[in-house]
Amino acid sequence: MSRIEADIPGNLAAPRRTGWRELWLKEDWWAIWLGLGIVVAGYMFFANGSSIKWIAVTPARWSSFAQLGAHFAGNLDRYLVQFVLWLAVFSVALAALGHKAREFVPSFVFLYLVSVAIFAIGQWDQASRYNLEPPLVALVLGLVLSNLVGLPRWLDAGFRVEFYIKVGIVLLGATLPFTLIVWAGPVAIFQASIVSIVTFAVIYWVGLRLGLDRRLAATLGVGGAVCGVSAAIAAAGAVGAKKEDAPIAISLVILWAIVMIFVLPFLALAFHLPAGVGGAWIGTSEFADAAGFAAAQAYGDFAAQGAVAGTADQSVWAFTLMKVVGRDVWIGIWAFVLAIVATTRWERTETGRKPDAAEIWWRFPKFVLGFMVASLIVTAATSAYSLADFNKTVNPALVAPIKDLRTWAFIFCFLSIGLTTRFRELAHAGRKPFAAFTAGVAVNVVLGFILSAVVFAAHWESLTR
Amino acid sequence: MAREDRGECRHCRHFRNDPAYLEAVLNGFTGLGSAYASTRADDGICLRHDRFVGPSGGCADFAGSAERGGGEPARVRDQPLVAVPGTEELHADRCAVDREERQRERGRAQDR
Repeated sequence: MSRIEADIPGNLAAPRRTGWRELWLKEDWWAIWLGLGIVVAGYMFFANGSSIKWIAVTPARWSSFAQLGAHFAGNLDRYLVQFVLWLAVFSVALAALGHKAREFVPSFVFLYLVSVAIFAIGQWDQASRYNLEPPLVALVLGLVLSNLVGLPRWLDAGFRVEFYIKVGIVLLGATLPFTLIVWAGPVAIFQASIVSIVTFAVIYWVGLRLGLDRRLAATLGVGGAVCGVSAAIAAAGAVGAKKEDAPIAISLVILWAIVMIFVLPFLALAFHLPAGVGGAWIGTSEFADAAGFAAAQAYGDFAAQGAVAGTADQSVWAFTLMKVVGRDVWIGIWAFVLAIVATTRWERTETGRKPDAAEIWWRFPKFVLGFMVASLIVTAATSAYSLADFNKTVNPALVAPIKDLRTWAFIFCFLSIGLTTRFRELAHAGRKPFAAFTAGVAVNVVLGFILSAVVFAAHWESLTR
Repeated sequence: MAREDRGECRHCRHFRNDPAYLEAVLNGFTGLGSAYASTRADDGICLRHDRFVGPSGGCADFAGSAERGGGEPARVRDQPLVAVPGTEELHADRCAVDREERQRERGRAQDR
């Protein structure tokens, strides 16, 4: 028996439908439990006159190594407790999902230590001079380590990109007023609908014109139109795509998502787009949540440095509304519609499936619900405060610590993107799929700019608490 | 070819939807995605047809869970779809298996 036969047995017992067991078998739900757990704990401390800010420690601004050393020496206990907390909650969640704790623990130790270093680099008072924004540093460092240095494969156990970003998004909900979601959400959904449909149509049409199989064209189309890898896999299942189609879509999504992490923020900066507008453009034209957050947070850092108008929050809020609320929720609908088309209009495959409207719910990215609930909890709990009291009392004791923990989750994610992206192992996409997907990218970027920076510019520019 | 659906894919021994397995055979999956996400639902890979399928699908090549209990291991062809340095020998195996399968398919077609 070959090594891989032994190592990758697959499921030998007949798999049961996940159904409501997804409450503990899917990482979306674990992101909700962890994220909401932190939010509720934060509120309970706050309601009792205390705060979780002790454990939400982050590196302070520094200008000399002596200052940095003094900070770590004085806060070592806080970092240790925070590390143990992250390790404990992630270990429990990943063990429930079926991962091995003995592989996760050493991997997460490595991830946390490197994340501390990246966070500290971002707090250097000269960091902005050299464009050392933590998301970009994390990504580049991760790519260098995985592609040029090389890391043992077992370390991948702790590099759970999607899990960290989902926990971060749920925590983000606590810092985003629910009233803002209600106010800006419909525009985000409308803009996302236009972009999703047009991008899918372009990739699919170009793909067919180039002679691609329509199942591959549909998989590529949804990958570009909705939320990258997750959407491509959902579409592949819905249309009965060939086994090799998904890796092609994965390769193209990763390639363009990583390119866009660097291109979109600097392009938006060149156009002097306000933070909210830039965030909305990134949300419209990035291809994956994790990659998009890296770009949006980097653009928010530009705003924090005064390079563009607006605030860092506006960039991340606009991105979240566009990408998470606007585009991600399309996944189930695309999968359902494509399943109907594949089984009724296209030739029936040997492995036909029955379209089921319930798929819209089962494929719904549930962490979005956690994001909404977190927002609702904090908004309701703090609705009695005036804006001045909110800024003076609620923000430092409740919102800011949650935001700091969110930043940690995002850095874990951004670093993990780089550490798990090994270019030489990605499937060779081929010229035709590349051309079809790239046509969609081009249209998506231009259309996203027009909608964000021209049609709805005033809307995205005015996002505020 | 006349078809008779004898069962759903979820009960078929050719069906693999274990998330760890999917992440192992689909290179790059974990970079910006996850097999543990809600969006995948219960979809998996049919090893008989090399297609992504849902658990509620079915076809004439269904092989029931009783046979599955025998524990057919993942075959050589279930390796990652892209060459990983150091696994050239395994890929040569895979090509050989593919060739043999194609020859068997041709033989079956001629018989029919």
